[in-house]
Amino acid sequence: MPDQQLIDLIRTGHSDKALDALYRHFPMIRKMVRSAGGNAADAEDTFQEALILLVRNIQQRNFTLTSKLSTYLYGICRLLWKEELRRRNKPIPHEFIQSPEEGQTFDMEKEYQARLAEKALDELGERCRELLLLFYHGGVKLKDIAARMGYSAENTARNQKYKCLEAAKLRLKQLQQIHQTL
Amino acid sequence: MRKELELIEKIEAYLQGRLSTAETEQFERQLADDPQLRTEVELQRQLMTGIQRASLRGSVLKAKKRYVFRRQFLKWGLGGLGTAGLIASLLYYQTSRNNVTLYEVNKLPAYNEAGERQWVDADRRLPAQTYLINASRDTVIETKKGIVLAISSRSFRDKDNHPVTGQVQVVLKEALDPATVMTAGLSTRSDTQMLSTGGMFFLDARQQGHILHIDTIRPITVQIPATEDRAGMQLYKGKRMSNGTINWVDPHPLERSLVSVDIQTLDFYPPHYLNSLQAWGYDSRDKRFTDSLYYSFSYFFHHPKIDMHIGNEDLDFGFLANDSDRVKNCGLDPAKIKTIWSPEFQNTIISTREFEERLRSLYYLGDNDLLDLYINHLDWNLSDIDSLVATQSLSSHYKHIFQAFADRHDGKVGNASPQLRQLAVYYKMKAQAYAAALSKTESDFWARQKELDSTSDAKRQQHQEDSFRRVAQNFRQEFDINFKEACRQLGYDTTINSLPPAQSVYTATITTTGWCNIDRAVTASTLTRTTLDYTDSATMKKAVIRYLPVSFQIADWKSFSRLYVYLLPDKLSSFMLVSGSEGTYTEKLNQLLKYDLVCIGYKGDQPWYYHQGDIRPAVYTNIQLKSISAEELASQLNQAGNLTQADELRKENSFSEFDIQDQKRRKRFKDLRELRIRVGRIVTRCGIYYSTPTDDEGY
Repeated sequence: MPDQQLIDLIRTGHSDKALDALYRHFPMIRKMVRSAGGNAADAEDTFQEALILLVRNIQQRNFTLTSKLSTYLYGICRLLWKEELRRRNKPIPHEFIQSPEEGQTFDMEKEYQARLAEKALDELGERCRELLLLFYHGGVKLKDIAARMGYSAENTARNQKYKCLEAAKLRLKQLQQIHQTL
Repeated sequence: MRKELELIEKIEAYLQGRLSTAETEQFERQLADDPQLRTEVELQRQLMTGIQRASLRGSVLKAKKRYVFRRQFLKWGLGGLGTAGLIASLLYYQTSRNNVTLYEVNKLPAYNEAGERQWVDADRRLPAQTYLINASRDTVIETKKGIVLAISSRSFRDKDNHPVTGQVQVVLKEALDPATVMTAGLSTRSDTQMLSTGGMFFLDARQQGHILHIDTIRPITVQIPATEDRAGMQLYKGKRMSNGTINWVDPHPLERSLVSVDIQTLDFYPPHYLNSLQAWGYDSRDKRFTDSLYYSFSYFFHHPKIDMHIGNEDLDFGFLANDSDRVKNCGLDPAKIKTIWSPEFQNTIISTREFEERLRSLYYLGDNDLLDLYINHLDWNLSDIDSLVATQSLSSHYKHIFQAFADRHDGKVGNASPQLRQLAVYYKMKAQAYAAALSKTESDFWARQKELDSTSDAKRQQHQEDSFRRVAQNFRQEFDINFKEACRQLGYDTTINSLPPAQSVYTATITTTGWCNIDRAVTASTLTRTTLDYTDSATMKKAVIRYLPVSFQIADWKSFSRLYVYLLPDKLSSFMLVSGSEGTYTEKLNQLLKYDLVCIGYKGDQPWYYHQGDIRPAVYTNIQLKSISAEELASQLNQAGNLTQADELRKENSFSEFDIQDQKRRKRFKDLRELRIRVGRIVTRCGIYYSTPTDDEGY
């Protein structure tokens, strides 16, 4: 699939199809991560994180592609893996330092905060997470959420949403404090 | 709490850019002044980013799944096979020995798949099916009896736990039918317990004689054709016993994939609906009829309190409850059923026999929200939804039923469309649209009946008035004739006005007894149609007007649904309707008049006719009516009697024709109303006519 078509798919809310096409590059990334001190699980984590960043970046209006999409994806993966190695206090391979980096355009600290928020949500429990995702991402109305998740009334769902959101905020605050003290 | 909720909604609106410019400015001023609010907004912003990421991650994981799936089962196109009840021995023990030989026809290797020197009767008796596969590739095997195995690449490991590549020999033995099971000497015993078998198979894999085992993180998927559906089927491992039999141990529940069938062949009607219709003499196979009757009840779910006007009765067919919350449990809304019983839901859990079974219980519960749980989770395993339903506030009886459904571990439809979520949205929209359309049609229908009823009531009223007018007119005219004749016989002046005095001055004008007497006598005679025999007391002159009886006997009168006998007097402008019963009609003829006889009968819509002139006081027997077309009847009536009589008769007949149709219509709606009341008991649970069906399948 041509790069422009992939970008169009992502921008028109059809990320699923684009992700299917992009996933084919996984073997290339696995090879790269393995050759730089990671295992298969590291490779998968890095690749998936890179896909998320890529989609989020493309969804931003000011994004312009300056190379092939696969090169861009590869660049993000290198950057992420380098960050990870740094975090683990592991030696960074020579060629990683020297090569020009793609995907330098995003703010790693901001992304890290976003990851913390995602983590806070993950720790919430399945029902809270589903409720918040349906409401904020799926755009599903509270009334329909109530029906779908088996709450007796719209108001119950609204209160539940409030509780979930508060719990998530609390957890996020804690995570941020831990992150700062590290 | 309320305040916090409002604040959160305000922050949401701000972050999503839904505030107006003025509101945004005001909110930002607030933000500048309030550091705590700033933190709240920032946290919420981060969480919303986190939510976006979480959702994206879900998409990425799905893409991974599809990626792995595509790689593993590129050629996996075998849908529709139900993995179903079985007791199977999937033998994958780790090997410790490698001194084995290949399987050959009727010959076993020295060591079994577990590396032991132990074989049982079944190993010897069942023929081996051997497949050579490339261990580095994904492979699908279908056995002679239809077991399908999906083997991922590198599914096999050797004794040192290294992935195996290259050619691998896969050996299968199967016993799916009772005959094979028995002749192979296989037992259906788990320790001391007897098992009911759904099929047994044996699997072994070797590479150059070396025993291989299955990588536990790359399991092999096996589908066994199910001949019947049995809940609670589990997968057992076989343990060879020293007495030559196999003991089945270590059971695991199976997730059963469901088979989608043509949704139109399923029965989504309420329990007892179709067979009740049949018992009441309706054609239960006419789906157009059964559908329209059933779907028409959607009206009651959207207009909980309605009055249905039929004929002269106002029938309250409403629910006991007025509030929609209680109507909710009054039964499943037919509009919802109409929506899911459609090709759009083909190839989902809805189009399965398993769902049909759940639906029956859902009908007894009558809670639309429970039905929605199934429709809103089309991408779930059916058993997971059963569990969800079982956790709702149900009576323990139904909790038990749905728990039992959940225990069957029914999964989902293989090859299901990925657009299941969208279907749930479609369902919601369509159900609303159907409900609106059905309600409209339904109310229009009854409004139309009401209109027809009032038109026909008006017509009937008019007809009655006409009849009275005719009788009164006949009386007036006949009285006139009788009076003049009486006066003539008595020698009075016959040019005198014979009109009776106006009522308002009636009592004041009685001055001469003669007048009064004659008048009364003639009136009485005309009214009672008895012979007048009057002698003027002053002149002793006599006046006699004879009324003589006539009777008509209609042949085969029983075969007519309606029968009218009319007499057309020559000197009167209208006709007389002759009364009678059981085919015999009697009247008294005035000797001063000449009469024609007209008989009109109906057999259904078909008119029959008889006409005879010059009727005299006598007994007419065996009057034979003849079948006649409606046009011919009209033309005959035109010729009968004088012009006004013909006109009146035509009017009378056209009313008869209308009345026949109208009575039919009323009968149809009376039947329909009764049918609806009866069906209402099946479809709704809150109708005032509802009573528990007695033959209720034990629910």
